[in-house]
Amino acid sequence: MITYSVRLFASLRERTGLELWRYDAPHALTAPALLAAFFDEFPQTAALRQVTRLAVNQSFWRGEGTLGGDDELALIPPVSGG
Amino acid sequence: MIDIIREPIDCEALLRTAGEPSCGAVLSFSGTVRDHHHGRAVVKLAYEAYPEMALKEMGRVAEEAQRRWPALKRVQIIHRFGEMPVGEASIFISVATPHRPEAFEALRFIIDTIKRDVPIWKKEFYADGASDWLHPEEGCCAHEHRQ
Repeated sequence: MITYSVRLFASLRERTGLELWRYDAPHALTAPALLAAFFDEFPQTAALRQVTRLAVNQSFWRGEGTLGGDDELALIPPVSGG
Repeated sequence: MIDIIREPIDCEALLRTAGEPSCGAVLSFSGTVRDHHHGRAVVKLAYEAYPEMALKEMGRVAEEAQRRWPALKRVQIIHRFGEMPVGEASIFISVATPHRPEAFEALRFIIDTIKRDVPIWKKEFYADGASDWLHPEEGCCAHEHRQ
């Protein structure tokens, strides 16, 4: 089993009430699988399901391999800085 | 100079360090807090950042700009986070190049890429007491995003 810790920001943080989401997976997951697990657990965030990206170790995930339990993970909903 | 700060941005001080002798073009951009959004009166904004990654992404944007426009001699990007009232700057960018065409192109690239990829989010507080996080692709600002 692998425990993932995922940082949450902005409306994802407010709508879940969590700054850090912990998820126990039976085996190593890809980014799309982890994103799906999050949005399944928190249906109140469904509007952001198709547009949220995963950051792995402070870079956007680039579509390779599975995630490790010691990776720094964060969900990045569409940004609005500037 | 690339940074994320909580205190007000000193745009005048940044203008003094924006140029260098080889550059005949110095351009700056400041994004300021607007008093309305879709016809609703806005009284203040709060920006939340994922600071470690935001700083790295801003650095990557500057590096990519320098790769695309090798004439770019100097770049400054300062983003503010936390609460700020209408009229104050949330971001300041400056670029310096020997000649002006590259400066305009690079500055446009930098602000557009920041708005797409740097993990910072804006929450608007309205005069009627409501507030909203802005996630442009969620729907509320889709018209802005298609530009």
